[in-house]
Amino acid sequence: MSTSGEHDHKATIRRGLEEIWNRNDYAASSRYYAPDLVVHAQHQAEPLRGREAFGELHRILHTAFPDMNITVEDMIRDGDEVGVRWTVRGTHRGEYFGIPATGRQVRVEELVILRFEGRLVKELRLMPNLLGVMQQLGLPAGPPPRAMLAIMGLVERLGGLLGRGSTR
Amino acid sequence: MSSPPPPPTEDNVARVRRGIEEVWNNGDWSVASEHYHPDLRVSAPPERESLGLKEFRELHARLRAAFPDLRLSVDRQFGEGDRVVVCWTARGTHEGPFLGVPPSGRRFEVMEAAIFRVEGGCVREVWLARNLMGQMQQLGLMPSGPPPRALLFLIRAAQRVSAFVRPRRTD
Repeated sequence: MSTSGEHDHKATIRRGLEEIWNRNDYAASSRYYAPDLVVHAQHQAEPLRGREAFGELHRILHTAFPDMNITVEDMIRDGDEVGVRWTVRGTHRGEYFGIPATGRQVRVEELVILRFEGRLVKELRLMPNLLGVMQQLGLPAGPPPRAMLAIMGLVERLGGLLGRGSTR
Repeated sequence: MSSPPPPPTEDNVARVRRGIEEVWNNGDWSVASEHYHPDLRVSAPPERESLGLKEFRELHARLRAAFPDLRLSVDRQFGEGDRVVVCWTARGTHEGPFLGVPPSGRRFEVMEAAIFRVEGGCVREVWLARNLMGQMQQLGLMPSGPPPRALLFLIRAAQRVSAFVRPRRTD
């Protein structure tokens, strides 16, 4: 156990959030993320591999929520691991998960666990409360009625047959 | 010569870990008072409701009824000061009603995490990051890709109807 490592990871996280995410400048990510960064996101079965792959998620989020802003609420560090609880706020101005822009304000608290290697983030574990986002965009919180489930299953199978396979 | 006592953070990490094993995985609430403060507060998604010890126990009971083999396997844990971060994989089989949906026998496996705050040797606060969406998708209760627009419209309509007929429950 060590909280007095040689790098100030908490300060790095605050700067990185500001530059990459709040100022919407993914080019700055090379100063913060390792080229072979691995991102485990709760809703994705397979991890995203590489800084470039994560850049695609950055683009999707900033297209959907151009004014998105992240505020740190708490940080817990032990050596090269840091847990961060933050609040994300944004206005839904572009398509997200197939949902056309609603103009709604979204505000969710999320948890992210980072692992550093040297000065760079090597691994990210994202817990984004997507169901909370969906609710705030007007989608149901509980499961849809059974008839709807049957239709959805059918649509998914058809989609699978047609090779429409997005995992976003 | 006795060795010096471990720093409080290691005690806290071990305490939180034992609470997960004994209470959540073994389902033994008789030892809950060793792990959880009587004024426990649990912040739970998706709407960040605040649960007390009683509601936390009821949530556990509902989840165990839906997934009798529910198990949390800890993947990562660390702490600083009075806070502990734990990341785990939750696995279970849908063998009882879940969110009003009858059992399907389907299995789920999702990554989840939480921040625990320890006070006087007991967990006083839990900030949960459950993976409800991943769980619902794997159980077939929610589409896994982006839903087509016509379907979104239908879902919204159904939502309005069901909210009118029956108040919603969210776990």
